[in-house]
Amino acid sequence: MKALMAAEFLKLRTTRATYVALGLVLLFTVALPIFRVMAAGSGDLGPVRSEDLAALLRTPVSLTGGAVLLIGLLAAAGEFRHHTVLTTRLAEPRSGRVLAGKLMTIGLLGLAVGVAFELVTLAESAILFNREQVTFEPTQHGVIRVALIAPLILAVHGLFGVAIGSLLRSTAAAVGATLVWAFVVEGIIPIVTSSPGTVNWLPTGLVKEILQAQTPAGQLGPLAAAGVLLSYGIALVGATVLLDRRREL
Amino acid sequence: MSVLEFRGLTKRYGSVTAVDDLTFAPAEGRVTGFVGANGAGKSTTMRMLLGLTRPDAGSATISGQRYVELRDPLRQVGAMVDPNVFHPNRSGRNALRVIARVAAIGDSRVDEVLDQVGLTAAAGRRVGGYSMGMRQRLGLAAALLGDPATVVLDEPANGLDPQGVHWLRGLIRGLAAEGRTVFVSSHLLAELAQTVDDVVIIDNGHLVTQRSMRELLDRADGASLEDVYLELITAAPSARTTSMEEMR
Repeated sequence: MKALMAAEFLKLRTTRATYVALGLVLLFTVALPIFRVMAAGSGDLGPVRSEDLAALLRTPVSLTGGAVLLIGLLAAAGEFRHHTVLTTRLAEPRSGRVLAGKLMTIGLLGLAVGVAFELVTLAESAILFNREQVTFEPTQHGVIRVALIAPLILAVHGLFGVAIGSLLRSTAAAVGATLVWAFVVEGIIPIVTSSPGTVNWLPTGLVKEILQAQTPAGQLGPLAAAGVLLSYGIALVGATVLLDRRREL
Repeated sequence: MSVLEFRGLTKRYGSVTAVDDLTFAPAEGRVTGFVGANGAGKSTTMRMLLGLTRPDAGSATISGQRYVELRDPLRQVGAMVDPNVFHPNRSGRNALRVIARVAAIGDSRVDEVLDQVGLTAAAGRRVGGYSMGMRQRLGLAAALLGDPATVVLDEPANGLDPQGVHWLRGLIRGLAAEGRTVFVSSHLLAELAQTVDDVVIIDNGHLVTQRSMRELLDRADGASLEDVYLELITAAPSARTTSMEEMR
């Protein structure tokens, strides 16, 4: 498994998409605290407060998660697009091990990206808060909770990406299906079912529930939401494993 | 003795039978050419040997094991099934390093095989900028990474210029001289005449014959090898023999 993961990391390091996706998200992550400080006092935004630190860590999670998901998706589906899956399978013919290696690698990448981006946000926020003479309190207001959870959520996004890419075996289909799911299905299901609460059971809603500091009435708690989110991931990976037993390259 | 063994191998795609009850065994330590027209079932047979395609019946084994059962397969069998199996944005060296990592093969071996196929100077260039011939050479380098005792090559001469074909012949003969078993496919019998020891001919997924190249050259007796090939194919139902029967 170590050899497979080493190969997967080398693939990521030698793929331009990895740097493009992470670079764009890094720009956003760096810009966000600056915009928050610049926009303070305008519109609905009040002055910067110590309590805003948790939100600054929480806000980029969706976008960064999207980038990690995209990387996972390209890592898995890209193998079929460029036919590199043939050389991978010749070197490791057991498809389950190949999938496990990819899941673990992208999961670890998600964790590492989460930690790195948090460190960037914390360091930048410390400087900005100091300039604005706002107390920087990284151990208060739920900051630690968000800091611990966000990398795990990014890792799960990576697993989703790999599972979707492996399942669909096509970059275009995987990207398209993900976009349709995120922007159409998750928007339509609550309307079709006449039940706005349904969104809390879908991946985007679940991520929000896991990250929020308090659980409003009628919503799942963070642990239950994490359980449901993981179930989606397990279902996707399970479907991929089952299909791979029947499919050929 | 045979490292590679095909027994009753069958593959159907809907109503089309691509490979039909194919049984033969290339001899160990020799170069065996696998000849057939386009669509005869050569690639499907090789893909079934390499675990990339699932047979509907029969088996294709390497030292008695299916490819998927091999531990450290790259060190036992080196294979080239398609030259277009490399990420176009990776350099040739990185493309091989990725494969080497999976099999825990060191980077020094990557440089060795790049040198062996004459790609050292182009190793840092993106594969997307490689010519077809260069991609074939890179595919051959990938097949040799694990220093395997058995090499399986599907149409390795495709896209090579005459110098490339000449170089390929030398490479294959060199591999045979080192005692390796080489199983190489082509749709042109004459292309293999100077390279292989034995020939397996298939047509429409059926085995037509397995015999030594010397026998075929003797049979030609002044005629071209293409004539001999066509004669065998035309008489296929009666000419079909199985290597197992011949071995007995």
